[in-house]
Amino acid sequence: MKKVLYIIAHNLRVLRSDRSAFFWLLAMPLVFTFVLGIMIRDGGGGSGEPPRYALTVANLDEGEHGAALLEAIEEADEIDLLVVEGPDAGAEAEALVEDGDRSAALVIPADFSALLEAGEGAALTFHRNPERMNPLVTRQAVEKIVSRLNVSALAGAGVLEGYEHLWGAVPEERAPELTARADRFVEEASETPPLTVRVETLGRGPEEDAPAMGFSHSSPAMALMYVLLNGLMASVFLVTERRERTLMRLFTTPVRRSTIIVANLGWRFVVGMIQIWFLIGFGALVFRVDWGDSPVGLLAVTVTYVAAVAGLSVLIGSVARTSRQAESLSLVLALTMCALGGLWWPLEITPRAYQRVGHMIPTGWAMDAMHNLISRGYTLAGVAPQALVLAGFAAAFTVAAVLTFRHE
Amino acid sequence: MKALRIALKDLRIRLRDRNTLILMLLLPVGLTAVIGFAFGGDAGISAVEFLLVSPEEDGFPAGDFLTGAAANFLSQIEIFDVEVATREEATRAVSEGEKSAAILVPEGLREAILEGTPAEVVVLRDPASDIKAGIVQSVVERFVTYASAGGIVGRAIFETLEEERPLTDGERWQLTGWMLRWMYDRYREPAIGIQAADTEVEDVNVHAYFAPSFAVLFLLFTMLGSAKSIHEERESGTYDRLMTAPVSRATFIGGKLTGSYLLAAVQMLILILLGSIVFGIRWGSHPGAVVVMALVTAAGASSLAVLIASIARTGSQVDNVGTAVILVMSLLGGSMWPVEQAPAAFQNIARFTFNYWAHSGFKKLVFLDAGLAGIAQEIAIVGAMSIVFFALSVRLLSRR
Repeated sequence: MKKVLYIIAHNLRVLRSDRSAFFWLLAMPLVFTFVLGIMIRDGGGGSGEPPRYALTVANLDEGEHGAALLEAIEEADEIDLLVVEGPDAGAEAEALVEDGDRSAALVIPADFSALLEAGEGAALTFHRNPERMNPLVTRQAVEKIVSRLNVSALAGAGVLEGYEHLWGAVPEERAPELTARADRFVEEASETPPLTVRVETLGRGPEEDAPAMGFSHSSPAMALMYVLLNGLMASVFLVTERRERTLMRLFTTPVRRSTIIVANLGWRFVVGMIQIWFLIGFGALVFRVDWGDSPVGLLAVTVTYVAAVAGLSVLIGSVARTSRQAESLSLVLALTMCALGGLWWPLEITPRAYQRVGHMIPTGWAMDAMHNLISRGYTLAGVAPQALVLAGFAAAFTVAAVLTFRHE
Repeated sequence: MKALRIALKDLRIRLRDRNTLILMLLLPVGLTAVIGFAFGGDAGISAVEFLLVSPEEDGFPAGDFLTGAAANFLSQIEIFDVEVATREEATRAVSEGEKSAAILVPEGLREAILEGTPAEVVVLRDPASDIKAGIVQSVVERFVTYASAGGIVGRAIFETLEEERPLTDGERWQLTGWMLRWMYDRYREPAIGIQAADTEVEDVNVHAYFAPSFAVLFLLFTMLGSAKSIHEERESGTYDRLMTAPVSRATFIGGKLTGSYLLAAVQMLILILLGSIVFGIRWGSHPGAVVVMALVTAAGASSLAVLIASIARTGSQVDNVGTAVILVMSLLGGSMWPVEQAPAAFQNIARFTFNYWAHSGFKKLVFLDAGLAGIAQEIAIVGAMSIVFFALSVRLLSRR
């Protein structure tokens, strides 16, 4: 045991002397956590406020309906509006979208009011930049506004047609009064709609002053990703030790093979634990991530995950013939495992087959456990299944590493 | 001529190296495939699973029947998988993450719509499901908007006509029957419609979006490895040996830069070809513009990598500084995440990165079917970056 601790301490001293190691282990994950957290916060708004979607409007209509629609869009909180005016406004709005300066544009046609007043349908034209994904949400916001206006138009028309259906043609002098009355009713009823939606988020729910979800996903995801990436890259050390014969020299001393293997697993485990808990601590203090109510559960998940990474790192170091081979293998495995395990995007939106693949590797289970702790407020018992699976991965990788470990 | 021989020698070495090939081709193609598997594959995204809960107090079978019918109706929509449950079952399933959300249908929903009495639809959300629970919430909000609107229109018609002339029971029935048909027709063809101007454009092709971004990202990494060879030659002594031969330093630098550029051009062109073959990406109808964009991008990436190598003092510094620069630039420039989803400040920063302009050029080729004129701005900016990086690296390398 003493020898194991000595080798671990020695390797940590070597690592400490490498300034760039601190950058890769601690600084880079924070940069990624910050940028990713800001990007996914509130659907990309980044400000902590509800997201706003860019929409350019060209109102070619000079009538009251065009003005009413524009006013309704101006009042919508979710829309970041830019109005273009002038005779070429339609073409200008279209060009802004085509050039990628704006993601969506709405053109109100010149005969908009005239068509509505004549009781005919009028079509707005919605331009979207096909490179962008946000316009789909923008269109939904516009549809919501338009549906409110449609209600007014419908009520007026419905009263006249209903009258006609029951009692025959509407006397010419009564028509304006009837539609105005229907409009008033719609206006009053719309102020307090009878049917409302209440959303209850189950689980522990965020604390009142907690930031939006961005960092509560990016913080655990980037912590798991960088522990994996740096951990697997550490496989290069083992190859270097073997190629430079320092490992062989160690075998000439009275140190057992098992001691060397345990020490190799051990120092990787220690570095991984320092790294992940630094990132967790930083996430809690700076990004205000609420890591849940169960530090013990979090410890169980981190211990088993880091152990699995350490085992895999020694395994790669054992099977790779050259440093570059170890580097390439580590990079391919780490990036693939991050993508498949839900560290870059939530597994919930991926196809079933993808989710199944994601749960064949440690990252999928580790991310599940993090969600259970952070969002659902599970305790140790709640994350025990994930921790046990991670422990299984750790055991399997370690056994494989022991079987393949070679000093020359 | 000597410079070209150095360049071809470098190119041969790189293309024979399996690890370089992994970085050059396997990783960008592999990650594009993974992202396609996640978002754009034939399987599409997994179904949004949620539960419908009947009003608690509704002991009549009609309540369950209607909820069941609604669940069946919603399940016909491809992305939904809806089941009926009790409140307890729904709360348990949602809180444990088995279902993304549950909708609690309120007692008196029909009265709320028809008579305007207050009622509340409750959506239970799984806290760990941001996207799918959000979809369910959005569906409910749309339903409530339309149902409320329909109810208001119906009541407006009834109340206005009642005020005009009190309705008999027969007239009420007659009006109700007529109104349901009328509203159904009117909702299908509303007074104000929205038509898409881009109906001829296909939906965002995930492969086509990410293939160029990963190509640019891994192009930069390959170039870094290639540029690092300047230091490796010096550190291993082969540079000194070369200097004993009748080869000038300028020839050596020229050979190294040309070698890097050739490798970059080969990588970009192969990745574009693989994109077409493996993922069926249509790079637009201007192949000339695609080749020009690829060659300019290759020039930018190779000169940036050589600039990093010329600033660094050792091969290991090239690795550390270069990887950090590439990762941060790629993260900010949209090679890892759609930059248009970022806040405005980030989008402005993105414009200072090589990745942003290179990716923007390819996006215009693929999604807007732009020709050379359409990507002139991108070519000019990436070209200008290449010239500046190249001039700086030649100056720095010549001094050493």
